[in-house]
Amino acid sequence: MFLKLLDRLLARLRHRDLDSEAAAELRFHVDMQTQANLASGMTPAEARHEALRAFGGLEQAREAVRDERATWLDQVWQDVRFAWRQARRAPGFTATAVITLALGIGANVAIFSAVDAALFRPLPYRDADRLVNLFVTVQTRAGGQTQVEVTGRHIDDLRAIRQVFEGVDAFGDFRPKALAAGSDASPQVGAFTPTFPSFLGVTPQLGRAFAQDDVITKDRIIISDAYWRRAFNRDRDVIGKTIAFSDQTCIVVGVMPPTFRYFVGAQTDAWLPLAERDGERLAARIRPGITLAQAQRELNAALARPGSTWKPLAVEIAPAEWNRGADTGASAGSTRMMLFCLLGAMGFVLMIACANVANLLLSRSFTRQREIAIRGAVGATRLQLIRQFLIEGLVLAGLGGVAATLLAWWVIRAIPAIVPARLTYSVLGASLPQLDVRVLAFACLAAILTGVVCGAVPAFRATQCSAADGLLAGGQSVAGPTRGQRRTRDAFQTLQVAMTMILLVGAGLLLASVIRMVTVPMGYDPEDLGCAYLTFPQTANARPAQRRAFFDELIARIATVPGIRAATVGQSPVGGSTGHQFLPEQRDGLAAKAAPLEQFDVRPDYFRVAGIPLKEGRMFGPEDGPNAPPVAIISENAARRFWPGQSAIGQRFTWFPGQPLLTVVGVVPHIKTHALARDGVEAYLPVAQTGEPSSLLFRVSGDPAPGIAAIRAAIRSIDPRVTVSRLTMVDSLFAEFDPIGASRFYAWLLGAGAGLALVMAAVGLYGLLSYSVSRRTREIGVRIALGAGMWRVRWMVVVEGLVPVAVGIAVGLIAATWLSRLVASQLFQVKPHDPVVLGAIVILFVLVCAVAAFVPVRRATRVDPAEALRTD
Amino acid sequence: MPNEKSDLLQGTLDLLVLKTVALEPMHGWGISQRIQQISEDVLRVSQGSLYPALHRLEVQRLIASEMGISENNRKARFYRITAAGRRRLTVETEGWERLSLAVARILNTA
Repeated sequence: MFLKLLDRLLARLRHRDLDSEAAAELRFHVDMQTQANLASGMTPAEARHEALRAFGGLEQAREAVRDERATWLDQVWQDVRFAWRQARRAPGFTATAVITLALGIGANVAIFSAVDAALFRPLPYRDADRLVNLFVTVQTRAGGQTQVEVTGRHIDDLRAIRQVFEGVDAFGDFRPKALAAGSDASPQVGAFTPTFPSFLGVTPQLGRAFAQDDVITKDRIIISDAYWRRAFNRDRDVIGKTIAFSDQTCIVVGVMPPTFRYFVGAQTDAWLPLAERDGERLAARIRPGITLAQAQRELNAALARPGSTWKPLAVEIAPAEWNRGADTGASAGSTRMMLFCLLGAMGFVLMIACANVANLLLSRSFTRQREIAIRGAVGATRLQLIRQFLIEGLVLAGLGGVAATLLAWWVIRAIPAIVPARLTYSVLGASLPQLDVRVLAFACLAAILTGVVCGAVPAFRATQCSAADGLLAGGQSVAGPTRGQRRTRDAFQTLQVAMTMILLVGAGLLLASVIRMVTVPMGYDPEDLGCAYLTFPQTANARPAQRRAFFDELIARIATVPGIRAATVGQSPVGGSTGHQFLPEQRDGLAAKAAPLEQFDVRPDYFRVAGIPLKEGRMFGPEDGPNAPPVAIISENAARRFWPGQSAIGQRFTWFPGQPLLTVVGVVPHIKTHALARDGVEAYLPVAQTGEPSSLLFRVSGDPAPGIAAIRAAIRSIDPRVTVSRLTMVDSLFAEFDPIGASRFYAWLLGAGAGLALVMAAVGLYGLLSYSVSRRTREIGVRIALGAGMWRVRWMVVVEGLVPVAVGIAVGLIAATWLSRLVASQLFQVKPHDPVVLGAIVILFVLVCAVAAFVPVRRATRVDPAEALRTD
Repeated sequence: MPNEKSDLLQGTLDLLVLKTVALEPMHGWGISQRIQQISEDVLRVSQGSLYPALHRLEVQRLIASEMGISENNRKARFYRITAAGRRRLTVETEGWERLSLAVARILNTA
């Protein structure tokens, strides 16, 4: 239907309506001839008849003219229509091919949109490609050098370097700011200057940016789109409303647009006005027309100039990636790497789909041998035949591409919902995936490439045999593919199997990791366990002793509350302080080999409250005071890893080179923190020795709500300036961190790809064997007639698929063990060559192949010799 | 398959058409009449091959066409030669003369 429409449209596009004009011209010719005949004395009837006779058929002449006129476009169009007719004639074949390609292309388009949004698309700010971050090299206290972000103190120094920077602006880090009403979660509040939004080219969707006066009064606030929705239910009258924090009340003056989603670090809910010089971080835009390298050189030169007011060790310009593909939190894996892995995996799925469809087309081309031969015999050149095949491939891929785009449209809209909380910031931080021009262009490109690949192989293979061979063979039913064609087909099957194996191994390893993560023991008792994280005002209670006194008072007060069974000082087992390394002492100094350290600053009764049993050594006691030798209790996995085969008790370690050594006095089980994927170790230090306690761990009985309310009230009555940044149950905090989410997400996606690949490979094998059985029906009939046993017949069929499958499995396994290093970051207690996983996958694959082979094999054994010999 | 006719025939007809329209713009019937007249009825152009030839030459941009009014006041398509057509005509004419001379020599001496 739509083809006809298109046809008419194309005709309209041509310069003139060929047929009717050519007809008019020919009619004119006949009329002139008739007149000439009349003039020479014929009767009118004779004259007309004679003219038509001389002309020799108007219709043929018209056809001939049309042939002359046919451009390559017309010929291609003719091929397209032929391909379309072919496609409609075999709806089953077409549906299989189109669905296969749609799934293959669709998966790629969907993943590409996510990768594009996360990594490639420019950040949604004005001239984002020229935005840079600045890092300055500074001396550390320990004597080394490190890079930190340049702060607002140097904003004027940088602005003065006009040959490099077009503009510089400042913003602040975000931190939780407790609400007066004291909810469970405090909003994350950052800060930026009045000019910052316009510097980025972002205008508030409601209200205004900060004015210079706001910087002085500091009582205005701008909120994010997400917070507007969460706290104000998208109320359009939000401007002028107030947010009551525990230390001040702010008036909302603006709402940022959704594109201003996550600016630095994580989701920020609101921003306070900031004076430029107080900015903790800078955003700069380099001058148009210069590269980063040029900017860096110019900057170095400007800073080295004698008159320069600022003499840093070095300042490095880095492209402003902010949150692009970075991985926050404690997950060890790099999002960027995993996104590329997924894109690669989907590329494999598409290649498998291509191989499948190419094989289908190739198989069909065998049965079309006769048609091809006849076309060749009546004068179609090989080029024309190849073009015909290519266009058939392209038509299938085009249909597949359209279906894929619809599929991708649906998937892309679902992506934000399926990305786990842990990855929202790194995957969706830059922008949301959408079906835009870039993604559509990718879909077109994928479809065209697919079409060419699908069409090219059968095109070259099928047109290889000579016309005479084809005609001869086509006449006989035993004709089969040539040796070369069979080899191509087997190569495709092998490739398919190998790539499917790679995907299965990758998905299998991730899945095994997820299972291990889920089943790893908690190591503590999460039941009825709650925790509170407190923020102390910068001025008062900052001293360790005062903080300890605060906690002593707090625990004493809540000890009498009926709903609370016990309370102690220490971070929740969900996660301690991170950022340091576990560096064991060895005979010749500190070990170079370290492990990421999760540090807990605890009171001696912490282990009893948390339900962590002692494995070896002793618990902390009153003897571990501020002036006693520094001690620590470490986790079992640290003891095993660094002091294998010996007791860890009495060994020493530290958390940073140059820091005092801590003596191990006890060993406890490894606990499941939110950083479990990082495979780190834990160390517990007596809070009496480490200083600043900031968190409370408590165990309730029954409903936690009254206990939580009592704790909140107690904190306020002791010191109203101390704010609760988090007060919740440990299991819900763990669920919120969702430490398994990222791995589960990747395993799920890769698993979906591998599942698709497996189905396609099975369909491919089924097609290959079915075709072989139908082709060899007669041969099988003869063999059965001659007394071949059923098993012999079965074997005969199976062996045809056996070699490509076996070779494919072997190649796939070798490639997989090599490629699975790429997902190593996501693997948890699973080695890339885990024999159990690999073995299970081989068994799974062989089983699926057996199922795929079952139907064709059974059909072979049901061949009725009499029937088979009678055909043809 | 139009391309499979004898090259000599096709080439010859193209040459004659080019020569004819080189003199003045002319419609299809006129071209066939002119060729017939000048060759003194030796060459009869089949209409079935004339029109395909005209369209082929037009596709190759050796001639161009436009609608005009014929001598008996009817609308007709007039063909005229293009610059490319003139160049082709010169080349083809030389080729043809060489060929016919060579053929004539062989026929005379053999």
